[in-house]
Amino acid sequence: IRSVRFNVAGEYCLTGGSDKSVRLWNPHSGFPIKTYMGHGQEVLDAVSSVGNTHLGSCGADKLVIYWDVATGAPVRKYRSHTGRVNCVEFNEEGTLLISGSYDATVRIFDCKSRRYEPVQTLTEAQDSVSSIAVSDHEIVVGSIDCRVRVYDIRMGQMHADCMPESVTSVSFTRDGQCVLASSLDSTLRLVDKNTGQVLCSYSGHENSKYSIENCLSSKDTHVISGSEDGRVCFWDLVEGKLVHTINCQKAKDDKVAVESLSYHPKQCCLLTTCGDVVKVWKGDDWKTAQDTGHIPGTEEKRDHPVLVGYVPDCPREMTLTKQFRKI
Amino acid sequence: MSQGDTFVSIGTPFEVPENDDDFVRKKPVPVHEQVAVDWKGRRRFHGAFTGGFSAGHFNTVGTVEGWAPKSFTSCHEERAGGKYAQRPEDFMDDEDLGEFGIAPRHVATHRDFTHPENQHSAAGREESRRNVLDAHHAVIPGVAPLHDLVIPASQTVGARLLKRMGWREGQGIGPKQQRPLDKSGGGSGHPVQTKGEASNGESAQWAFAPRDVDVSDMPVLVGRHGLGYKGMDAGRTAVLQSKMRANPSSALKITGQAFGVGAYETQDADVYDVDDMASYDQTMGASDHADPFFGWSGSHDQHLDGGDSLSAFAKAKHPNPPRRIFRAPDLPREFKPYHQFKDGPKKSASSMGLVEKSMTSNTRGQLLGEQRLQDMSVLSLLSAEDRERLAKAKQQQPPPAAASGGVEASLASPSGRKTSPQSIPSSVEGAQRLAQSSAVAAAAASVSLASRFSSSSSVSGPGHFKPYASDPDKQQRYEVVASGQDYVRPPNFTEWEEQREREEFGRASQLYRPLGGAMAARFTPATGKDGEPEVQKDTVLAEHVTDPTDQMSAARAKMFGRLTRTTLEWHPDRAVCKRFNIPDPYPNSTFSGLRTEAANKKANFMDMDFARANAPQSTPVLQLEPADEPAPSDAAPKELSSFQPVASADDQQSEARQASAVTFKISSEPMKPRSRPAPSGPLSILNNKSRTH
Repeated sequence: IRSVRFNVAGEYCLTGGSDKSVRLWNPHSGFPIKTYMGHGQEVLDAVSSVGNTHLGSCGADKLVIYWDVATGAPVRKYRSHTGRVNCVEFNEEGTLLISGSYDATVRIFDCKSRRYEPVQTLTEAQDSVSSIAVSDHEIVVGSIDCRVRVYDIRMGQMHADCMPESVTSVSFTRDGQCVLASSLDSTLRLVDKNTGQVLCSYSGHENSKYSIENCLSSKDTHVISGSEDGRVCFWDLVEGKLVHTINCQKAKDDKVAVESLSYHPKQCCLLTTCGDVVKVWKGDDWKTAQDTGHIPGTEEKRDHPVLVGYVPDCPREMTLTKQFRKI
Repeated sequence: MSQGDTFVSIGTPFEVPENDDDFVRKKPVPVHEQVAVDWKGRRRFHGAFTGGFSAGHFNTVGTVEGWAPKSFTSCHEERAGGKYAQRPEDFMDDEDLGEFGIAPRHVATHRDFTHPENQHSAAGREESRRNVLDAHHAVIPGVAPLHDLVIPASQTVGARLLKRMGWREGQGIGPKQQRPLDKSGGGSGHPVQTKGEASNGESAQWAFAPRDVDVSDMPVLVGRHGLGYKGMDAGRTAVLQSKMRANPSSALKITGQAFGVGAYETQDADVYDVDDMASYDQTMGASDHADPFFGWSGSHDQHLDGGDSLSAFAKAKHPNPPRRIFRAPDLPREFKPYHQFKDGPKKSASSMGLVEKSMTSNTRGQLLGEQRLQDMSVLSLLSAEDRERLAKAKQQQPPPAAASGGVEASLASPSGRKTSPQSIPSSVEGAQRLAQSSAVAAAAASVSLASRFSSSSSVSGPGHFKPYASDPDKQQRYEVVASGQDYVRPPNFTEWEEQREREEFGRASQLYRPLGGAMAARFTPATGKDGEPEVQKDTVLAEHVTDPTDQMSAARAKMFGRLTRTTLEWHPDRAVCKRFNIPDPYPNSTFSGLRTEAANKKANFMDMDFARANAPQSTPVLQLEPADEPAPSDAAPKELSSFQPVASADDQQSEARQASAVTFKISSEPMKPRSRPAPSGPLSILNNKSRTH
């Protein structure tokens, strides 16, 4: 599974996997609702729109597909990128699809118009775009060229912040003032959006090879990130201390990187990927969970069952060639 | 039964089958024995061709007797039609032409005679002919196909009455007229007075019923021409028939294969028509008065002018009286062509409608007979605790004046709503609000604004980010403005600089809202590795161009913020703004994305508006100039490098992704030697205290 996302209200979750399908689940009950097939290669990210009517997904086949949830048919297939598309996001109203790809561009597609070309292309990144976050008037792009770029649509400006290492994941805080960026030197940084200053940095997990996602808890109290050694780490936002870790390894005790995670928008509930399984973590309060030591995972769902010819998940690898870093 | 011995006297006797077998068959007739047989007993094949035309008579042989050679005629028409034409009926036999064949012949009444009482046969023919000849210009050309589709089933009453009186279809109505047999079929059709003499050799004068009234359909006007317009007729117009020779005055008048055309060439079609303007001359009809009657085809007995052609009118004896012109009326001297109202009674304050506006609460209280609240303020209603709290809050933060909200409004900006709700502890905020409301009663709007922006009032507290930290005077001015007081102009500032600063402050206050209260306490601004004061960094960052390698090194050294940040002007596409529901920040921009070099050059000359507080967003040329001058006014745009749109690194975006950082930015190279003598290493930047900017 390459990515797991809650929908806007947190009732459903979307998973995109290496078996070229996007699946819609009810994470609380564990039942799959629908499967969307249409990608030619593995699906790298999937997101749902505000009204739960449409989905957006992107994949290694350079496609960005805009699905209709009810019928399960792709409404639009945008073939505009020249490299695999790493991440996709909807805007606040669900009318624009913003996708970032390995070809170092971020393309904005208008879902409501009939055009198949992107409305705008952001070409400022020098290397693969690894992650995108969208707020109601900003687009944050994190890319492997060690930059976090904030495009402020309201002011008409772009701020580029340099990080010491390639940026693998960006996300907004709930109040929209800060951007959380994780980079390949195994640190997460909370960057103030207006000034570019790093307010806090969090480390203690492992992230030097693969693209690991981060997120914030629903009340901005904690910073959560996956790790390459199969853990999920929680830090206190303000103090920066590692508060808790969850081990989500399989019974075989092999370490699978936790690539993607998603936090419920309101409740205290976390979704993590673990290989080909999505784990749902629930707990009342992380602090009390810290005391008890371990938050029991409520359900394990076997996701994306093994098919004939199923390529087991290989997290994105990295090779250094001169100045380019491929992820 | 004996043959020939019939006892039947009436009718025809049955045919008695001779053999008993034929009478009744025990078994039903199987399918393969059910054969179709025609009337002669010949085996039929359901009408299919069973082979063999009679090669004799119908095809090649001319007659029943046989083929006789005939003389050769090379006339195509005779072969196609005429006596040698073959019809399908030639190949049919009696069975096909019979009642149940494929081409049954039957006798039917002609259409003219089957038409019921509506049309007399002859009249029907006439009308159909007239319809065709009329050039029916209806939408469906030709004879109206549905004309006869709907025919009234019964006669009208009038038709029946007329018939009783001797009228027949196709006749006109009126007394019988005597006219000669008119075989021409044309003419005006008007009844002509009979004369005694014979004309044209027809002495017989018959009394005919008058001709029926012509009901001719008006041709539907198609197009935008006038009535009766006819386009150019190809057969008649000289223009469309122009066959002018290319060289009309050549000596050789005869042309052809032997004349003027070589033996090995063929005469080409004359494509070189020369147009003569005279061919475009057209005249309507014949002039020269060739026809004295101007096309009048009626009787020529009467003259057109004078005479009794229009017997109802007679020529006038007296001419018309001359037309009278009436003069305009005389206007009085003070005449005004518009209406003026006389002034009504002047509106006084005592009139009912305006009383409320001019009344104050005091006068209103007086009118109502209330007791005045003298020497009482709202604060006395508070409890003691609240008063203490209020006093404490007042001490902590200077209470913003009423003009604080006014400041925000006056430093005008079209921004949208605030995005970041500040999580300010509610007690402080509440105390602030109370303080404001007690201070100023009238400006309710500004109070609410001020309370919203109350966090920005605390700009001078410790640990707050100062936008102009490097210039303490400017920072102070900014704080003064942000806390709501009027902008104080320093003595050495020109008017233009003052205006620029004002706008800068306005923009800074919009862009930057320092975290207030508890949130601010949670974060500490990043300091340098050596704990260097911020002043140093700001001077370093005064130039907009930070080399990316420097940025990287700064990032590695964990000195984030100015060093690692570049800000560029980015134009979102119009559709993007629409979908995000955000007003376009650059409504007049012609491009989207970052500015490229080419666009930059144009922008130099188009929007060089120095009245704006923007740092010049331009090529290095303009950047060099302020860099050279050590004027203090230019410190202003430099410090705002993180806020102002700066086109420092736009070229880097326009190029393709370059691997080398040196070629990252073309415009940086000339800057480099001037600005930084030692452009390597982070420490050298920090040590570069003496700057010529």
